[in-house]
Order: sequence, then structure tokens, then C-alpha cells
Amino acid sequence: MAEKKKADQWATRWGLILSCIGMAVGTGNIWRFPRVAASQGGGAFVIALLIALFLWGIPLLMAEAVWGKVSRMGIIGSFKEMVGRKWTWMGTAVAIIVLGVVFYYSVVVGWCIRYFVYAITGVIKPGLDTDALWAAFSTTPGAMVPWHILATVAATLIIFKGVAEGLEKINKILIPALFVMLVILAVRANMLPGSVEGLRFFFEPKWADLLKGRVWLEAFTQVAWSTGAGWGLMLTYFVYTKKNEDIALNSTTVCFADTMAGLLAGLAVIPTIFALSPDPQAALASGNTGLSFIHLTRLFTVMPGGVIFAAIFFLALIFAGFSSLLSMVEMALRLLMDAGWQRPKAAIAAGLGILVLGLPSALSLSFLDNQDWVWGVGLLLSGLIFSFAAIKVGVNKIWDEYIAPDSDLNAPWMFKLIYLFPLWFVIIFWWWIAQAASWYPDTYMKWLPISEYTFTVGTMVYQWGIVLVVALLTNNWIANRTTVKFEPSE
Amino acid sequence: MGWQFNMIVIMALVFGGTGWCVYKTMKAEEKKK
Repeated sequence: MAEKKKADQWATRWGLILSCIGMAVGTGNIWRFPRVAASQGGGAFVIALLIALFLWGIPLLMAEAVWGKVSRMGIIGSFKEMVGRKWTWMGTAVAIIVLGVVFYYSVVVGWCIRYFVYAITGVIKPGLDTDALWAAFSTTPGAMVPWHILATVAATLIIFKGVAEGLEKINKILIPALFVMLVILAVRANMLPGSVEGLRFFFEPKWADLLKGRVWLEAFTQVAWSTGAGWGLMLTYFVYTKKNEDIALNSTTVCFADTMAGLLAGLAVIPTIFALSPDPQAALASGNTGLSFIHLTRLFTVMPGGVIFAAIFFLALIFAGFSSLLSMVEMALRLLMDAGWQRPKAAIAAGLGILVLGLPSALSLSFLDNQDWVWGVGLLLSGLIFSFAAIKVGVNKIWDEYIAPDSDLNAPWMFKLIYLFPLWFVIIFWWWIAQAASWYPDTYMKWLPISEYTFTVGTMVYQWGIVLVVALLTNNWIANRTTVKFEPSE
Repeated sequence: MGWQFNMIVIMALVFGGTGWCVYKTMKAEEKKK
């Protein structure tokens, strides 16, 4: 009798955990966390963030993990299986929102690869005009395209190899290496004369800031975007877990490791800025790309040994971004495999789709900014969908039947906090909408042309509306085609 | 409370939290063997 082929699933628990950490830790940990933490009360922000982890990140990641492990299907199929066939549209909506992010994220990883190449080829050197370098790269038509293609092709090749041979093997290298690089950068930064001022600024006790609503809103937003909770990526990785995999402890580990990566990045970035920048506040206020590709790049040109540390910094950004991109491509691939496609064919189709649909973002920075805005805030909506679905299925039932039996962390309250999720959602979501309305007082509902109305309320509402209509109209059609489950061998 | 104390508390919470999770996972994996 022929031997039954072993299913392509995670070979080890550590492989799964490292891959989930890779999914969560992205470029935002390195270029957003330090900036936001420093401007929102430093230590007080981190405390607010730790609380937000328990109120937003951990319960949602647990729900996602249950969806994947129990249904053994990707985002769409898992909603069909867990909530019911008529609710398949919820999975479709979440999948489209996340795909909206995937299509520009490969471009962002491409930027990091470009700047790493700048560093190792000697372009980043004393006297470099970093403003001009970024302007030339980001505005020259087609300049970003080759790097977007490189990032997408590399991710597709790894996904092509499968879960154990591709994802697990590469993440076992990328993630430990990423943490080592962040430690090296933090040590180097804190050896610079004047760096202590950065630490003082970062950790100055400003506990009164915990009374400010803005600090909490930023902390919740950071958790929503950084942990990947509600994106369906953890869900996808849990499709391939062993039958007795621990959901509660693994989800908690991912959230803490994600915060640790952000804190290490803060220890590297903020002291460097305070030691070397003539105007640290301006650097911190310059946005994600301004901070990394203009201000920090300039500081590397004046830092002793700066070329080496620039290379390490951009390599860390690549590893962080690429490990997240892998989870996104796998998410897209899983949707096709649920429809009966084999992995090689699905990998090529997912890679080609991301390559082609990422081109508008690679060709236009304002389009990329618009997509980042629309789908970034849209991810809050996908979190709401997960929480609604979990409450509908039954929070107690999910804990008792799907989480508790295999968990070494006997803390049902951690999952039951998902009941409060809709409350946090309303507050955070309203804050973002109100902010966007204040940026365009008279035209906040306009959305075209995108280059003019990049960050309006209208551009979000219309694009989300299209997604919702498509998801509802295709409910039965997609439900009929999403039928293939992954079969774990152990 | 100075910023140094604050830094130690924050780092203990974040690094300690991660370390505790890793320790729990290692113990669980040992038990399975």
C-alpha cells in the first residue's frame, strides 16, 4: 500500500511562533512605534499599549487562530465554516481589505531593499542630500517598480516551496536575525555621545499623559496595525498547525514579541536622533518615510561607521517587512487553494496578481498613500467583523471547545475581553473619521481625483462601500467555490 | 521617579512578558517529549 503523503504543515511549534512574530513585526515596528511612542508620552504610551494588547490584540488574534485551526480554511472559507454560509461575505470583505494592503506593501518592502542597496553600494555617504535622494526615488516614474517586482518575486518563490520548507525555514532565519540586528543598532545608538538625551526624552515619566485620550487612541491604533490582529494573517498561519496547537499562549507570545521589537527599535532610533540630529523634534515629526529615508539616512552619513549601521538598519527593515509580506502572499494563496488550486499554480497566480495590482502604488506615491489610508483604517473594520463573528458564534463556546483544551494559559478572561471590542472600535474609528473630516473641512466626502483627495473620509467610505457591495453580491458564488480544506496529518 | 527607573519598569514589563511566554512555551514543549 502506498504511504500516505505527509501534509505540508508547520514542522515545529517554534517555527509557527517565529512565523507569526514575523507576520506581526513589520516596518511599522521600526519606523512608526518609536516616533509615536516618543511623541505620546514615551513610557506612558508603552503602558497604554500593553493594556491595548489585552483589550484589542490578544483576543482578536485568538479568534483568528481559532478560525484557522478549526475550519482549516483561509479567511473566506473560515467565515463560511464558523459563522455560516450566508455570512461568507464577511470573510470576502476582510480578504479584500487585507488584499488592499498587500498590493502596496510589496512596494514598501521594495523601498527598503532599494535603500539597503544604496547603503552597500556606497551611495549613503557624507555630504549626501537625503531629501533629494528620496524625492528622486519616490517621484521618478518607474523607479520603484523593479524593487516592487523583486520583493514580490522573492516572496512568491518562498511561498512556492510550501509551509515547512519555505515559510518556516526562512522565518527561523529572518526573525532571530532581525532581533539581533535591532539589539546591535540599539547598542550602537546608546554609545553615541548625547544619546542619553534620547533615552531621557523616551522614558521621562509623564504619567499624566495616561489621562490624555490621544495617548490611548494612538496606543490602540498602534496595536491594531502592529500586531496584525483582525487581518486574517494569523488565521492563515493557523490553518497549518498541529491538531493540539496552543492558541492562547501563542497569541500572547506574538503580541509581546511584537511590542519588544518596537521597544528595541525605539531604543535604536530615538537615541540616534537625539545624538546626531540638529532638530530631533522635526525628525520625529517627519512621518514614517521621512524619518527612515530622509532623517535617519542623513544621520548615518555623519555617524562613525554609519555605512555599516545604515546597511544593518535597512536590512532589519527588509527582514521585518519581508516576513510580513510572506504572510500576506500566503493569505492570498490560501484563498485560491480553498477553491481547489494546487500550491504551485496558486503561488504563481497570487504572485502575479500582487505584482500587477501593486503597480499603481509603485508608479504613484499619492495612490500608495491613499491605499495605505483607506485599507489601514479599513483594518479596524475587519477587526470589528472578527469580533462580531466571535460573539455570534459564542465567546464561551469558543473558549471552552476550541481554546481551553489545548492551552497552557488558563485565562479565559483574556479571550472574553473580545466582548468589549465593539466599544473600542467605535471610539477609535470615530476618532479617525473626525480627524479626516477636519483635514478637508469643506470637501471631506470627495474622493476623486485621488491625488487631490488622498486622505478624505469620502475616499474611505466609497472604496469600503464597493468592497461591501461586491462581497454581498458574490456571497453564494464564492461560498460555492470555497470548498477545499487543509488536512493536517498530526 | 526618574526616567531611569521608568525605563527599567517598562523594559521589565515588555522583555519580562515576552520572556515569560517563551519560558511557558519551553516548559510545555518539554512536557510533550
